[in-house]
Amino acid sequence: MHLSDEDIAHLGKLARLDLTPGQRHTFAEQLSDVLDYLDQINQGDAGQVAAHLPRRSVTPLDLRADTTSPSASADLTAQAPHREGRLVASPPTI
Amino acid sequence: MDVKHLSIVELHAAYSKRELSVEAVTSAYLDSITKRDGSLHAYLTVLGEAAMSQADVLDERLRKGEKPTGLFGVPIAIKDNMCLAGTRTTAASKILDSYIAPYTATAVQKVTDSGAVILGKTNLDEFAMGSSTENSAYQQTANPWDTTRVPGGSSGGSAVAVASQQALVSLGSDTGGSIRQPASLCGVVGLKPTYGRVSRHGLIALSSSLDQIGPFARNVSDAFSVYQAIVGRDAYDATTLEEAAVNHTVLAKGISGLRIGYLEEAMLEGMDEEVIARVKEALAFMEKAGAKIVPLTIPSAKLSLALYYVIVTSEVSSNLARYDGLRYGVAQSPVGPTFEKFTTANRSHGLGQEAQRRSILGTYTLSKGYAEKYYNRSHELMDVVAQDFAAAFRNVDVIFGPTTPTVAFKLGEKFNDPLTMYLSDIFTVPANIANLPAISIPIGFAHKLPVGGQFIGPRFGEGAIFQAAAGYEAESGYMNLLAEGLA
Repeated sequence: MHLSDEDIAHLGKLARLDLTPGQRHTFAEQLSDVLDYLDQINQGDAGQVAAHLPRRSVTPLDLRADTTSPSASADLTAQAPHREGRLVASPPTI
Repeated sequence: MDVKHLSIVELHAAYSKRELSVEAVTSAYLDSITKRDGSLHAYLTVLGEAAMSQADVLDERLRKGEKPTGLFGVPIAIKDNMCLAGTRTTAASKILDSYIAPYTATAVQKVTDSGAVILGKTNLDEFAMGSSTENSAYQQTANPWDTTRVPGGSSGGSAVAVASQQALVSLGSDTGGSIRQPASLCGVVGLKPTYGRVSRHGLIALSSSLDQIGPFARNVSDAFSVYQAIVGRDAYDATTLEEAAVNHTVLAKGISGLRIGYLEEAMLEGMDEEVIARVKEALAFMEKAGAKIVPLTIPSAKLSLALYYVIVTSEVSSNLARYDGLRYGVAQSPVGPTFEKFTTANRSHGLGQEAQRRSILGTYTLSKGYAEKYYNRSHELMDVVAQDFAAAFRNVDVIFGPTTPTVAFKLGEKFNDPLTMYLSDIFTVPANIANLPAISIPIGFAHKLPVGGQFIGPRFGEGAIFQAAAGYEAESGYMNLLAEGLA
């Protein structure tokens, strides 16, 4: 599998990462090698096994009771750089 | 007597007889950090004042007649991807540079409740992504056996803290070998419990399907004490299970009569010949001590590393999406002009190279058209590997092999070659993929550096690997190793 510099730029946009041309080129080379290695899961015996596997069953989780308990929200919001009363002030980004 | 040479059992005996105070022991370890960490860089944060206060409280309990049990008065270091309320918790990332944890991770709370004294938070690869601790945004931790070499990773700081007597024991996290690989390279004991044994609540997530917290120690008995303190069902982690506890009597059972499997695939081309020699010697030694050595073959195990990197990078891209400088993480960029530009600038500045590389790859493996081929297929094949291991455990009690293909490598040697770096985890990832407990213990030296051997057990079979590891350790004498100059 070969990833181009343009592929990496597109993936960077999806991952919200602004990559320099140098990074794009390095990642394209490195990740093409890594993908070649990862593709063994779709080749040979592994590919045949996977093609005949039953769908993975989902086991219901043993969920805890849906009860309320004291919240740490005050401690969490205390770390926000800007607050106004009970509200967290965020930069205007719209 | 150097109190740093004492095991937990010996410390407790000295506390009981009032020959030692917790304050004296804590102070000795803090002095050791002052003396040694300037060159080794194991700690990101030292909590000296809090540790001495905690020691005072414990000494008062001793004066009132309390008998020390569990981790009472045991100086411990915590990997800096576990939350400790009121302290800086960075996961060695610039994006969490100013994060003060508002709550304490369950495993950390459990060691505190058991009486441990927390000395500080240790260095790691950023968000636990790496095998050398070189990906930390803050500092490069050095291997105490040779400071020009890596300590392994990602829990390199926790391994070095224990190996250099800057803590008696420590906590690390293991997603693909991040406890066992540095334990092997630093000459200490490291355990990855079965997924579900230890709560991940308060552990900053790398790969939620695989992450597991476990101990480092300088002997198997001390590792067992930490393990006992941290296991159990936790209402805050729905993936934890209440399984039968392991009785400490397994530590004295010995290896005679154990059926020890040996993976024939474990000898790779290009592997260090001296490491192969130490593994073969260990097998011969165990056979002489009465164990039955059974050759095994598990062909699907060789897929583990590829499955591991698909699952980890996919889950990394999801788990790290929250660090945008608004919901989580430091906002570096000036305001706006759009949400996308704001968060992109923060992430690009705050996340290191490996975090970015894995986020990119994970975005690819989860993207439309590729998720089925990579992520979903990997989870299906994980079940195949797990079934093949389960079948093997019908004929053996434990599986033994090398922990790593080489001894500690030079700083910078693999830093720019991610695939080669990833291959250093080739023997540790199968236990994560098949969800099995595994322990690395010292089995000798190669090129004057420690070599680790790994026992893998059946799911929730920690008892078997503790028995094998303690039995081998007692017979071989490879325990409490200290590099020259640190003795």
